[in-house]
Amino acid sequence: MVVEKSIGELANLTLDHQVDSGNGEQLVDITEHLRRLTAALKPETVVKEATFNLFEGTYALEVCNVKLDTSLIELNADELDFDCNFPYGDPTTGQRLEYVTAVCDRLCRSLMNWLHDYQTLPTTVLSCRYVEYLMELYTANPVSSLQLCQGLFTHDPLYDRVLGNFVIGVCSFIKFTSKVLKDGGVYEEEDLNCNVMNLDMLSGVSTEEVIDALRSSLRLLIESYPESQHLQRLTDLLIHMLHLPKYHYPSCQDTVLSDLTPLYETLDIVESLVENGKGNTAQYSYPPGCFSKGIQKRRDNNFPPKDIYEPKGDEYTSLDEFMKDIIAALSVKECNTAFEIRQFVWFFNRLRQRTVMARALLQSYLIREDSILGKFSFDAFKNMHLYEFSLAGTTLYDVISNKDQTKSHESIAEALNELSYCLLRWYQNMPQNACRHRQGFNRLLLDWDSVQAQFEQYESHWQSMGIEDRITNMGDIPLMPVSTWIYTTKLLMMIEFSLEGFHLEVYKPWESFTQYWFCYYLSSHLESNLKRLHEFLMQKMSYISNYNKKIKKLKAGEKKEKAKSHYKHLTDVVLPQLKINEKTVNYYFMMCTIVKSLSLAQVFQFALLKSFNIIDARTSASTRFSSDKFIHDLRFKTFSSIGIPEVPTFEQFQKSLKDFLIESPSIHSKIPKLLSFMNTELENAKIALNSVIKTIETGEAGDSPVATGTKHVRESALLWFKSMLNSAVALSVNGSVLKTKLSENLKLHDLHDVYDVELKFTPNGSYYFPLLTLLPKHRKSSSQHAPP
Amino acid sequence: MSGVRYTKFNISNDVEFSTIKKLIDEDLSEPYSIYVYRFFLNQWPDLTYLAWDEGVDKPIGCIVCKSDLHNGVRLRGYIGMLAVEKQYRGQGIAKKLITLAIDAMVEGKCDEIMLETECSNAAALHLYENMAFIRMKRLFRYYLNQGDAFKLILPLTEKSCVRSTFLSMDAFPTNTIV
Amino acid sequence: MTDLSAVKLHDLLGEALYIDLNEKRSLVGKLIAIDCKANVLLDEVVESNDGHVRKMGLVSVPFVAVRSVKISNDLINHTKLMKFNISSQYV
Repeated sequence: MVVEKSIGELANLTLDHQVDSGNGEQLVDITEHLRRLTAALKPETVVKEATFNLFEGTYALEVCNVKLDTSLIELNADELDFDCNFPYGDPTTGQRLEYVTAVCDRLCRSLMNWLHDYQTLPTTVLSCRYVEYLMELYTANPVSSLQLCQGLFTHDPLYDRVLGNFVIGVCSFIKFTSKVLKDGGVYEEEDLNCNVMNLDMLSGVSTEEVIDALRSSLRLLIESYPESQHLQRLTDLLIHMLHLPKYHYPSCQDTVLSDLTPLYETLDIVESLVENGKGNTAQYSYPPGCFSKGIQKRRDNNFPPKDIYEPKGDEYTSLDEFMKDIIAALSVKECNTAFEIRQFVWFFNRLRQRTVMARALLQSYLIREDSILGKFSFDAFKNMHLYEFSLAGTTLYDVISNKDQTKSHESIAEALNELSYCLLRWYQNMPQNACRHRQGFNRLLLDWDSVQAQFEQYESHWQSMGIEDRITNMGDIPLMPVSTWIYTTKLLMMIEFSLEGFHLEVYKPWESFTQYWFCYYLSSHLESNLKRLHEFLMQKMSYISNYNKKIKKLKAGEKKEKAKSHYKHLTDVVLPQLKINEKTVNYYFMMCTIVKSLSLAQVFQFALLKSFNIIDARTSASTRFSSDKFIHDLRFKTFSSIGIPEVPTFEQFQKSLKDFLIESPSIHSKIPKLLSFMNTELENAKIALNSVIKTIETGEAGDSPVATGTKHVRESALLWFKSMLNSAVALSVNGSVLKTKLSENLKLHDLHDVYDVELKFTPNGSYYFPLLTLLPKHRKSSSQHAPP
Repeated sequence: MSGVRYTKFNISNDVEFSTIKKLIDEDLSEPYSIYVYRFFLNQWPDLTYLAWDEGVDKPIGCIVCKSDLHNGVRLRGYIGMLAVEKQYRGQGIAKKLITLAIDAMVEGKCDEIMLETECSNAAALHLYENMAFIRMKRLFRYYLNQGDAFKLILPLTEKSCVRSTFLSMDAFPTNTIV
Repeated sequence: MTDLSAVKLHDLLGEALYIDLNEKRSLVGKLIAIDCKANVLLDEVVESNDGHVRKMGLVSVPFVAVRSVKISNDLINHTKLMKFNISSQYV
């Protein structure tokens, strides 16, 4: 870069100018001149380069502003005098071992503060002087082998070898992490901050060599430092953590590891660290000045000053979670079917946001350069999704699986491949952080809505070519297997988008009626869609079981033989898949029941509160600047382009609410009936939930009427459904609590001035269904000051 | 409080510029350079309002806004900063400042007004939600202090409720002869 | 004394400013913007602090913090020459 070069020269110039005033003649003081010129400017004028947008200027640092000037950071004497080549500590008392152990312990904790607690590198790992020193040496001379690297030079092997290698190990891990980040899948800054302050993190040194160096440290510790158990454990831990790059597909491509043993071993080490930490409350001390903000002041830096993040003490527990999440993520390799992979990815990052490394590794391990798990091409994977849901046993499937490549076959396959992209986008969205995950649906819904419209056309066209399946019991309506799958996926996303709003606390209580009623509405549409598919599956299965009778009627001969072999194909291949698909559809039926019933319970409770004028399905705020309709339409903006299903209008929602209200006279006596309706709904949800939970607990027993596809993400799935079950119970209890509160004074029918409503998450309950909770209305409190 | 009066920002008045900076710097954790203020105050001086107390020669509260085209299809007002000196809080000054700013943005034909606020800032959420703002989305670890934020929007026109993609499709009237 | 009358604010945009903040600390950077109070916005800033040199990127420099602002003599001569040439064309 030309600019960089010239700036470098300029730097030299300034230095010269500073050192040698004789060069001052090259420069001319324009301070007063500037003052005069700018004083003549109008106050609103900013003289700037034509292409420069002042918005970029909002990211500028500012000298002599304590919040924005790292050069103002003050360092104490210990920090200023710190010498990485001095062996701190009394050599006779074991203080040096304590010091080195303490530094290594803190480095491990800092790694977790950075990776798991979302802190920055300069305030964690890079605040260690040894890290800064050694990486500056490496950056100045980026060699390809540790042998050639300049290390610490204290003449004490504890520092020079053990600590030196440890720092190298930590930095090698940072290098790996920045590679993971560069590979994409998670968001820089918000998910992971990889600001290495322009230090070269061992770009030329292989992980293997680093591991070898750490192994030699470990041997040294075992042989010469019997008191060094903790340091040995830490070194061993780091060796194990450096195995992680082997599971990162972009780093190792075809040699990517699938054996998780080294990771399980890490868990053992972590466990001993956690155990050790429990009894060991005495804080290790490290050489004074060893951790410092100084690097922010010394290195190239275009970030504002930040305080060092002090470890909180729970880092090894975090590390345990970190490793377990990674192991869980990589278990995706056990999945064999599209439904299993889909379920895995759906449940994996649910309930609790997984550690960022696990979310990133899952994506890179699952979605590889040109395949899923190295097993299925993207197009094949998309076909599996279709086949395992609605495509098995259809005429369309017969056409596309026909070995004789015909023209129509080709064009159909090509059309179907347009779906692969949409499907991958769905997969990439699932491991995102919870906020991005919900936002991602905005874009996904546009894509899926447009492919739905597209495929409805395609499939109509294919029907005209004779490629069709009709559902006899439903007035011969066409199945349209591809559109059915797309529509199912789209509806599920719409429901998820709406319910995630509760999880992220995006809705106020007054919005909950509309959202839950909408979820009920969407689930009903999903149910109808599934009913068509289910009917087709039953029809096809009965066709197959009746096929034998047809064969018997045929005369012996070629035709009969052909029919026999077809029958064998149907019973061996098609029928088993249809049975599986039927169970999968049953699973989605149960999801519908669960969402419908829990949503309806919320609707009943909202209506109950509305009946007593405590809440309304419109904002109580002043709409001087806006309107109820605008606010509603803005809330539903994501769906504004969706054609099917039709999205209800503000007026339609308002009207629906009226149907649920109870009214005077004797309004109080009507509560039990309303609650009894609600409890009936909740019982339906509980039955469905128990059935799903039992299926998961018994390992998807063959006689179960549903398939959950959650074998390899069992724990998360179970927790998820149990949280739903807890919510079903909690909703029922909440109904009674509301009744009690509303009935405190039977003469009062308008409790608007008595109660406020809040949405409260229940412990162990589902975050999709926070409870409408009554709070005594505050006396008009003075409104507080509030900056945006 | 009856003694408080409100004025539009006067960019020629140095005291106003420096007091705004002081009010905001004392109040917000986010660090702002002079050029953050130049960005807002020089480009949209009409969207900054000040609150003054009787007998005090410096503003005791301010709101700083801007408005520009969002995605090329709708005019979006944005509330950038709001601060009221500690001893004047709880008197509805912030609310009045917001109202003045929104009025000005309505006047300027904005389709919506947007702002971000920390999820943990219950007072700010309460204030804006009482003016019919709704939370459009949550932003993960948005602030330097690592907290999540909500993006709040107040829709002023129908345009605010339509996805940008579809607004831009309508941007060129179909009957235009090119 | 160098005659600076030919040097206007626009001539300085994109050019290197050498700013001393105090006896130990100075900055060099490309002028991006300047306001009516002579607060400058510099890009690609290189700081020299007590002999230590580093890059700081985009930096706002309040004029109140400035001890002196300098530019290279060559720039002044160049600007003068350019303006002279332009004006002589119209004579």
